[in-house]
Formats: sequence, structure tokens, C-alpha cells
Amino acid sequence: MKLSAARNAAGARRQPHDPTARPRPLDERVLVDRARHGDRDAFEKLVRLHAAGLHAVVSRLCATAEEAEEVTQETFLRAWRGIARFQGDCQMFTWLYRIGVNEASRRGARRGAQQTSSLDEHPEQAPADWRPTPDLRVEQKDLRAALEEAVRGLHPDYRAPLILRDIEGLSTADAARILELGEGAFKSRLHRARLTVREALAAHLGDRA
Amino acid sequence: MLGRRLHIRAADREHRRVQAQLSDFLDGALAPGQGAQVEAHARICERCRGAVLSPPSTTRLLRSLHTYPPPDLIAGILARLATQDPNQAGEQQGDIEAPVAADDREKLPQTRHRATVVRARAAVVDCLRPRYLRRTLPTTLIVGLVLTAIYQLGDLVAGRAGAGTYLMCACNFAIAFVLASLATLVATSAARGRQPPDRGPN
Repeated sequence: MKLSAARNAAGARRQPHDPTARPRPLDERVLVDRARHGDRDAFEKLVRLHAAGLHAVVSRLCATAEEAEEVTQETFLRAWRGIARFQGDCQMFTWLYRIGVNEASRRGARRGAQQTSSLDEHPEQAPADWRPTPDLRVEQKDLRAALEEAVRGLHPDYRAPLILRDIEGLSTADAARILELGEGAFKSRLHRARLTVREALAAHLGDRA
Repeated sequence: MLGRRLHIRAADREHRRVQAQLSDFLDGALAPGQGAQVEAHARICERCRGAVLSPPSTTRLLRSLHTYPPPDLIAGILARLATQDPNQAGEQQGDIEAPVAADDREKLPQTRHRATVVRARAAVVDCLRPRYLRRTLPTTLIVGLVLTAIYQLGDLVAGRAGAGTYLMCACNFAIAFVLASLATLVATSAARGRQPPDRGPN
């Protein structure tokens, strides 16, 4: 890694991830082609192009910051190992996001199974809930925090379409391809997710009608 | 009667002010205090609440949920990539945690060395960022001055200071800077481990 590249990476970190900023397809195709022939520097450039975007997506699908970082790392490792299988029939980020979303879902399912089994084994050890009541929580947070919580509260099947389409700003076609869904099924899930989030916002603003 | 009219006029002024700020509010471009005022108004004003809850507004709000990647995200990925055999690209489709093949074992020290270099370089870049310098430079200044006062002040006051004395003064500040940077890196890394994921300041 050259020092100038490190400086670029440091500069990129100062800004929030801009979901609409995508690399030029031609540059990316050249990099992908070189990476497929084992050029690690080209792949490192692809990492720099897509790491922030991928992390933005998986961080909302993972339970902790550490898990999101691990999933992002693992996605790029899998991509490096499987780059020869990438035929270029979709964009690089579509392929990467698909690996990342699948990895995050796998971990989520594993975590869910572990939690269920541990509660089944020790039902009497479930900790008391000392969190504030929902009404108090609503008073303590602002609209964006309420929105973030509403998104995190969605079932993963509905959360992923909302993240990809509405937060990351991907097209319906790209987002549906990442989730390996038909556009009809994708739109249906997105619609339900939007309704749920809007209801949460309405409740936050006191409009419970 | 007059009081009621004044109240209505004040409410109308507030409504117009919030309407003017609504667009910036939806984009997350308002200061937190101003945002809270818009929210408070939306709770009591049906028209403004309707505007915030409309589908396009909700989409704009969602789009404004910024994500800040961790500062060493790319360095971490590159460090793990560096532990991979360069010839592995496209060849292995198994699990990431697969055991290292015997032939690859002798290459590991080399790749681990590269991973260490990548991490060290990222740490140095971090230490030179303004955010870090704002924390480390005051400490450097104080510790450097104290060390200089203890060890070199006598020579400086007595006029016996030579090139060696000034070199030692510079070393005092350099050592203080290195220690302050290390402490800041460790503290930042520990703090990041305790943070919830991805929520950046809005």
C-alpha cells in the first residue's frame, strides 16, 4: 500500500458515507479484471471504493459494531477468494453487498438460534428488564434516533430492502438483485417496511390516530 | 381578545419559521437545538406533522441517517487480506477460517509482517489527523516544557546551552508527542469498542 493511498483512505474516513457516490464503471471494470488475475493492489483499490458503503449496509443488519466490522472484513475475504467467479454480469457493489447481506443474515440467524436455546435451557435466568418504558424512551430521543430504532426493530426480511433502497439509495432493480428477490416481492416488503417506520414516526410525534 | 389574537399571531409566525426550516430538518442539516424546535412544533401542529410524515419526507429522513465507518475499517480489511496467499484469489471457495495448508505455513510470517506494517502505517496516519493532534499537542507542549525545565533549564539560563542542549530539548517534545499519541490511540480504540454501531452525529 502506498502512502498516498493511505492518505486517501484517511481522507475518506473524515466524511460520512455518501450512498450516491459510486465509482465510474469503466475504472471499476479494469480493477475487477486485474483483481481476477490475482492483482492484489487492484483488489485493495476496490476495497477502498466499496468498504464504507458495504459497512453502512451491514452495520444496520448486525447487532454490534464489532460484528459489522467482522462481516465487512469477511465479505472482502470471500470476494477475494471468489473473484474468479465474478463474471461481471452485475456491478461489483451488487455482488459484494449480496455476500455481505448473506453473511450478516447467517450470523443473525445463528445468534437467534443461540439465544433461543440458552433461554430454553435457563428460563429462570432471564434478566429483569430495567430499560425505560416505551413512553419514557420516546421523550428522551429525537426523531432520527426514533427512526434508527424503528429501522433496527424491523424483521431482517423487511429491514434489508429499506436499508438498500431508502437509506443507501440503490435502484429497485439493484436492491432486488442483491437480495435475490423478484421486483414484485421486493416492492411488497419495502412497502410494509415503510409503513411500519412511518407508524413509528407518527407515534413518536404523538400522532397515534 | 387581544391576548388571543397575539397568541394566534405568534403561533402563525412560529409555523412560518418552521415551514422555512422543514427542508433542512428533513435533510439533517439543522443544528440539534433547531431540530428539536421543529420537532416540538410538529407535535402540536397538524400541518407540519403531516408534512414530516408524508412518504417523500420519510424517505428524505431515512436518507439523512449518516453512517460513519470506523477509522481503521480499511486498514483492518487490508490486514486480513494480507494474511491471504496472493495466489488464493479465485481458487478457494471454502470457509474463511479453514486451516492453513502446510505449504502455506512458511509464508505466514511474511504475510503477518505485512499486516503489521499496514496497521502501523494506519496508526501513524491517524496520529497526524487534526482530530488526534487537537488532543495530543497540548499534552506534548506541557510535558515537553516540564522535561526541559527539569533537565535543560539550568544550562539555558546560565548561557551554557549548545547544540546538544537544544537537541535534548527537541527530544523532550518528541518523546512527549509519541507517548501522547500512543495513549490517544489506545483510548480511542477502547472507546470505539464500547460504542453502539454506526450512529454518527447528526
